Amino acid sequence: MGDNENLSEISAADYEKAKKLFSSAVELPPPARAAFLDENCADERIRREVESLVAAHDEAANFLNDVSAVGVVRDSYLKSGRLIGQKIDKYRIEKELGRGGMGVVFLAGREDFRQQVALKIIKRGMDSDAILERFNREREILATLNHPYIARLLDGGTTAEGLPFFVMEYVDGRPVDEYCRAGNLSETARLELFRKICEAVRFAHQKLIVHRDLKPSNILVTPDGTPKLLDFGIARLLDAPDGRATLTGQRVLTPAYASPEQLRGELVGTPSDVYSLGLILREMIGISDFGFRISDSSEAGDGVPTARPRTRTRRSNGDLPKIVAMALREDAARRYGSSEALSEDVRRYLEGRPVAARPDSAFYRASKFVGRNRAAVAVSALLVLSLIGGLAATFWQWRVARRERAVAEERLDALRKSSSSMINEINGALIDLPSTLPARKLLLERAMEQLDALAAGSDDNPEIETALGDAYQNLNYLPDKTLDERVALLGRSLGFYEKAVVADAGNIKARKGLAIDDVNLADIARERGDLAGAAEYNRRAVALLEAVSRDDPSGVETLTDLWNVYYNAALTYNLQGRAADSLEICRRMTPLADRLQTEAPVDLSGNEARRPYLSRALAGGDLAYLGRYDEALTELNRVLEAVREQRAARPDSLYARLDEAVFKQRLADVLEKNGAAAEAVKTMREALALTDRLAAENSKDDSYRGTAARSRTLFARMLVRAGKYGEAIALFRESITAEAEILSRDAGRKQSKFDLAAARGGLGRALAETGRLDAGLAEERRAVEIFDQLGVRDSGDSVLRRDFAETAVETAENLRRKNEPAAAATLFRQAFDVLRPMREQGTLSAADGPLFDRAAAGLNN
Amino acid sequence: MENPGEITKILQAGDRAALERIFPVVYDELREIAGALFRNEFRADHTLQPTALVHEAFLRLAGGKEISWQSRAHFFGIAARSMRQILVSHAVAHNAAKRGGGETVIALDDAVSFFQTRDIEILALHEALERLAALDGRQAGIVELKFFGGLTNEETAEVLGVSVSTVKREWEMARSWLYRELKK
Repeated sequence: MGDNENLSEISAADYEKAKKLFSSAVELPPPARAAFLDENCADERIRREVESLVAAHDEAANFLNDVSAVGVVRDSYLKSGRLIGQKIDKYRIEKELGRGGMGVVFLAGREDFRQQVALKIIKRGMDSDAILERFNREREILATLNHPYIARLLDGGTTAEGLPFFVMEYVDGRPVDEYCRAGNLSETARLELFRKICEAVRFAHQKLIVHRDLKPSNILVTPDGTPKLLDFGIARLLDAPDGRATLTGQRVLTPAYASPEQLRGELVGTPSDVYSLGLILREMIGISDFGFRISDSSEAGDGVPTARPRTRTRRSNGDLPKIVAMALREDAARRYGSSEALSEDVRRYLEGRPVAARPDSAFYRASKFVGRNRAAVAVSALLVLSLIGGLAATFWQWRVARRERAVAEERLDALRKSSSSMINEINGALIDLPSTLPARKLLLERAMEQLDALAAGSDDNPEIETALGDAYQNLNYLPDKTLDERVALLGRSLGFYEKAVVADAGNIKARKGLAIDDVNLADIARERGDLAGAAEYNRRAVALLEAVSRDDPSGVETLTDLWNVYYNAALTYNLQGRAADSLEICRRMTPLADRLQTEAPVDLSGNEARRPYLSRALAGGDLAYLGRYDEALTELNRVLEAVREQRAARPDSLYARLDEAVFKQRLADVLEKNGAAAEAVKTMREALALTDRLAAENSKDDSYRGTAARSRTLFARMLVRAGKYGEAIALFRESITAEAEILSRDAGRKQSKFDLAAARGGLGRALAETGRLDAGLAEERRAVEIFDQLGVRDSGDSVLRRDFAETAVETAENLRRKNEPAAAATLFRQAFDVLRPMREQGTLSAADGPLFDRAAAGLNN
Repeated sequence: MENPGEITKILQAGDRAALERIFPVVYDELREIAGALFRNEFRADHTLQPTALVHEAFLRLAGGKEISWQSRAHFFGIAARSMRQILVSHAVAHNAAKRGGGETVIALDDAVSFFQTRDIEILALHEALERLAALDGRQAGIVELKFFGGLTNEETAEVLGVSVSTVKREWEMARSWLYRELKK
């Protein structure tokens, strides 16, 4: 201490100054450092500090770098020599047999039975309850894994420390790779051993149990040459309930033997085990990564010559690598379809017959690089398989264990929960990924065949029928389904639900399923532009769910569904311009939202927090459409009050901030129509400030930029109506630049195209009004062109139709000024044709009466 | 096994003995949150999703009840801090040759010994870190998150709201400073 200590103690401010110098100095080669400091550091104290720290840095090497305290604690946590002699549950620990990614395995004894068992303590401490719960749920199925080549799972529980453990049949054997190396086995003997392993895997797959962690150390061979597969079913118990391996779960698997889809963290099914079998085969027969036989001596063990079996001469040398390669294909759908198929091909090879394995075609090798989309293909295809696998398991369980009805029901319920959560999660991830690859089609077809087979044997059991209804409904959610395919799937789903409902009118689940099918059909109709069809499906869904909610008044979930269906119905009416119908639905939504709020207060972090005010906002829009401006203002002001409360409660909520902006725009629109022009402009300006701030904070997200650009266009159009052309022109130009940029990154963004058309139309109008008729007309023509490209005139969307008509009428009026009567007449005609049916059906907004009159007048002149 | 609601109480009260028992649970939970946060695959709404994930993890730890932690930074901070407290209190017991206890306690003892073999005295490191905190709070925070909390550079950067390169730079200096202090 003493002097030295004082010297090295510098102030926080000096330390801060030393930082920059230190960072630069350590980067320099030692001889250059003094010169660097001469030049850059005048302060002697700081310099001494920097020099001393740089010296410490050189000496520190990996100090604190290569270990973390948590890591060390965790590692020693499982160093468990101390467990020897202890009792875990009813098992006394005798010795450690080994340890791996999953945990530690002990030899243990059960005193009451004098039986030796292998006891495996699972490493992670989390989620123990969930693991055990799954274990208890699955133990019946695991108990059916009764096969001479599979080590039986006997028991499970938790240690005093809260770690889950499993008890398995103890196998006195050696790992298969070691056994092959040491045993001087002939190729034939190895391949026959491999076929036994395949047989065990086939047996488990038939019970719909996937191993997921097959590797040589999990396959022991007893001295008499019998293979025993360990850990079957355990990987699945460690997974998250949605079937996706958790992060911790991923740490469990052994990367060297994991399939590509496993490494990507996707759902895995039987193809994943086939892949692992391919790796094991490769190892057992000694083929290098590149497909060459390493050497023939590997077959003979340690150079000891063995007599070659006679059949060998007829075997083709290149066939085994082909078999391995086919099992190891990256695309799960292009591997052997089952472990049995792999085993059969090995048999054909053993018999000297031609094998089924073929080298991958150039096309498929090339498609390895398709990348992102292809990964999605594999996931969604596997998702289907696993859904169907789950359903098949249910079905199988139901058939074989009819007596154990309670168990089956529980499982059915679990299945339903997990499939819907899977769908939601995976769907979210895949929604944007297009794909038309044959592999996916093939898998889907196969999946459909399986479902159909199940359906044929459903024995009119309402539970199975409901589950089938769910399964077909879930298939419809898969991305990249064509609309026709979705309609077909939903038709089947409807059929099953209907059968279930006919059998039991009180089957709430099936009745809800019917309603959700209708909602999906409405979506499809809307996507096809068939708004009338969509409205009809929505109406049916509403009626069904209203009835269910009467029969099942306690069902908060049903009420939530009902609210969502109302919302869809109201939105569809909105698009149709059927404001009165929409308003009627909104009047039912508001009390429902209030009721939900008291009965099931929502988690404020999600979209649901908007529920209490969304219906009022829609109603406000409807009232304005109907020309009932005062009532509209009342509703919208209440909405904004609610949004402001939300914002106060959760200042960082993006939903609340976006809503505030959007509803301010709506309010401004109504204010303007109601004659309060100044207040309207002020409100619109506030909305623009809000969206600009959101866009600035989320600068990488084009959807926020798009929202800001749209705000700008809306505001500018209002300014045009107020005669403030100068400011409007500047704003339109900014919008156009922003939209063009967004479209340059994503040319398919429809909203941006509409907004671009609106901005160009508005700019044209403003230019024409300020004496620049030619420039204005050019912009307007481009706007009309965009609307035409988007097929707006033929769409059922009344909002877009009136936007087109407005632009067309304005353009036509300018064309007439420019003395181009023929072009003007065409546009007047188009506008008139768009507006007339709306007027006749009463779906034209109150404010658009004058627009219709202008179109009609233009046509008559 | 503690129930999750209890975990929150324990974490908030800072009860060390209890913290030791639940540590493995908290730690794994943290790793999983960190993983979920920094993997991007499942981010449909990439602005809201991470917050929602953390929120969910909080709820899971808290047994479904709303808890007072405001941010994930605070959450990681608590975890790293508790790791530090646990180890320090153990180092004290260790040096006083008080031994015994369950598997966790043994594991902590082993960890303290392990660091001794690597010339890292947990107590000395802890005290040096207190001094560093007075000089430069951020550097001390980085050491706590990285060394005690086991966070990667990327995770640390995320928690502290600084760039990864800043974390790396500050970490190198902090490490050098601590090395020098411990060698004195």
